[in-house]
This record gives sequence, C-alpha cells and structure tokens, in this order.
Amino acid sequence: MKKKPLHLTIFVIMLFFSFVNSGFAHKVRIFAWENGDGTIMTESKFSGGRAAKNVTVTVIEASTGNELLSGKTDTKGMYQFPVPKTTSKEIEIVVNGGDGHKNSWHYTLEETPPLPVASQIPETKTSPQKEPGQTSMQAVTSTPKTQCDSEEFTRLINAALDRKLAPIHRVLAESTDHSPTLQDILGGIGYILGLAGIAAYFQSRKKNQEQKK
Amino acid sequence: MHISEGVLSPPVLLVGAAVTVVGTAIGLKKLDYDRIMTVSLLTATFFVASLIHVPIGPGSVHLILGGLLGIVLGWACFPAILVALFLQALFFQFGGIVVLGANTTVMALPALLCFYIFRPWCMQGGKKRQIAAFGAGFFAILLSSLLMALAISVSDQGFLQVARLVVVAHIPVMIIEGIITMFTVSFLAKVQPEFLQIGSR
Repeated sequence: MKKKPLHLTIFVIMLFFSFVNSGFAHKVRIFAWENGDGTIMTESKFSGGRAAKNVTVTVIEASTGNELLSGKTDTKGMYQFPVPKTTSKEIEIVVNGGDGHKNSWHYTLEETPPLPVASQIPETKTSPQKEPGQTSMQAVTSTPKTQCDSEEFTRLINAALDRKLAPIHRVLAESTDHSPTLQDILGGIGYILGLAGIAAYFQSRKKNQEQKK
Repeated sequence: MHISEGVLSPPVLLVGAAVTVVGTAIGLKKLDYDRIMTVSLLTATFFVASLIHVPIGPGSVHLILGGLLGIVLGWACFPAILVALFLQALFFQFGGIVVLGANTTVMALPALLCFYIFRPWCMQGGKKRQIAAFGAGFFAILLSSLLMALAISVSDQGFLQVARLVVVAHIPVMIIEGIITMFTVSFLAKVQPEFLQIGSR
C-alpha cells in the first residue's frame, strides 16, 4: 500500500526535471514599442520564446472598442503599423493565434507623434555648418523662426531618442512576460498535496462517523 | 491546449462550466478513501506535464497526459484536471479562471471517453493492453483538439479552419503521448498492477 505511489512519484520527479531543458509554451504574448519614425513595432511570441508566425494583430481604440487597423505578423512574429490617428490616446493591441490563444497589450500614444526622421535629416546637417555669430544674429532678428526651429529641434530629439531607446523599450516590454518559476511549480504541487490531505481528512471523518453508528 | 480568456462566447463558457460541475460532482462521489493519493499524484503529474514543450511541428504545444489520467482514474479525472487547470491558471497564467470550465471539459471529456473505450482492453494484458494504452494517449489528444476546435468555432471562426490548425499542431503530441501512456501503463501493470485496477470500479 505504501509502495504504490512510489513509481508515480518517480515519474512526477522525472517530468519535473525534464522541463528544465525545454521551453515553456502555452500562451501567446504581444509586446509593442515606438520605433521613433512614426510607426509602432509589435512582437508576438508564444511563451517559451517561439515566434508567433502569421497570426492576426488587431489595433483597437480602448475607449470605444473600434477596430483601427489589423494585419498579420511576419515569420519573426513582428508586425509594424503607423501610429494611428485617434482622438483618444489609449489603444489596445490584440493578438489572436486563431487556435484559442489570445492576448493584448495596452499602449498609450504620445502627445505629438514624431514626424518621419528622413525628412528632418538635412536640417540637422545644416545647423552645425552655420557660424555661431550667424545663429545669434538670426535669434535676434527673427524671433518667430527660432521658435519654429526649437519646436522642430524638440521633435527631432524626441524622434532620435525614440529610435535609440527602441531596443530598451523592447527589453522592458519583454521583461513583463513571466514564465513559470520553480516557486510556481513547487507551490502548485504543494496545493495539490494539501487538497489531497483535506479530501483524506473528510473521508476519514466520514468513515469514523459510520463506525460510531 | 489551454483556451485564453476572451476567446469563447458566454454560451460556450456556460456549457463548459455545466459539464465540468456535473463531471466533478460524479468524480468526487465515486472517489473513495483509497484512491485519494492516486488521484492527487496524477493531478500533480498533469500539472507539471504542460510545462514540457514539444518543439516539433508547426504550432506551439506541450504534453497534456489526458489519456493517462482518463484510463487510470475514470470519472475522477474531472476533479483532477479541474484542480490542475485551476492551479495552472493561477501560477502560470495558462488559460484563465473564466474559461476554467470550458478548458476542463475540453481535456476531461475525451479522457473519460478513452476510459470507457480502452479500459476493457487494458484489463486483458499483453499486446492488447499496450495498444489500448497507446490508443488512450493518442485519441484523448485528438478528441480534445476536435472539441477545442468546436468550442472556438462556435464562438468565432469556421470549424474546419480552426480544427486544421489545432489538430495538425497536436499530431506530434498525439504520438508522443500515445508512447508515454503505453510505457507508463505497461510499466505500472508489471510492477504495481493494483495501481491500475484501482480505477476500474
């Protein structure tokens, strides 16, 4: 009687250790970050790191639930779309694997979406060529133009920062994915044993009561 | 095989929950004192099995072991799978609490069916037992895939499209689970035959 569960225990332990070398796969995750060139990049993965290829990504306005745009991921699980023009800044990016796996990513759009960087590049190159005196004179003589310049300058910095920070945004987004840890697994097994204990307790009480009668 | 939250429509969720409640009630009623440890051990096995990822084929799939639970436990596979899925939803974020009933039905109903189809063969021993165990492991996954496709298609897309996606992705798992169930059952039958007989009442 005592020996009975031993083999299964071994089996459970075997299974338990074999997971260490294998990936986990059971749900789909989507991450999104701004690219810095007026587009938003999304990456879809199954938990375990396998890219979710050719799955549908839908962008929804969070406040109304209206579908803004949708498309399919490429072979790396990536899908890129231009920053949608909406009145509300909150959007929901939903990935649907079509096989029962579904997940979403909440995204807050920035106040002013950066202009395409390519059109701005010539201006950045010209500014250092200007002599210091010329710029200060310009500042004195034409104030409205400087204001415009500084606005554009801020926009440029924002765009460049977004571009440089895109990999960091990606890592941050990915780090929110929580794959099962040892504690999770042991905790679950502990719960199962505890439930078995509770069941055994009630069954034995029933048995005792029947014996008393 | 876990269906995520927000995929299924409310009627499908309700049907799944109802089947789970009935199955669990019958399973608990049939569960007696001597079987509690067997059931909890297989629950633990099922709980960790889904962490084993099968990197073959087009999809992203993992072991389920529904066939093994079905053929050993019979009706008790309902409470076992329910508890394991609840803990998986809680700890691993697989599936979800709202879809718990539907997910339990998708995995436990085929397991129970395998119990009725393959159990008599399993009792006979020899080659027949091996074939029965393989069949239980194989068909539990096949039927689960079809049931899952049905659940999704009723709520969302066309049946054939989903069924093809899900069934094709699970073909490697069907074969692997068939082999695992076959070896586990013949091993237990050799060393610890009482373990298998426990579920036969």
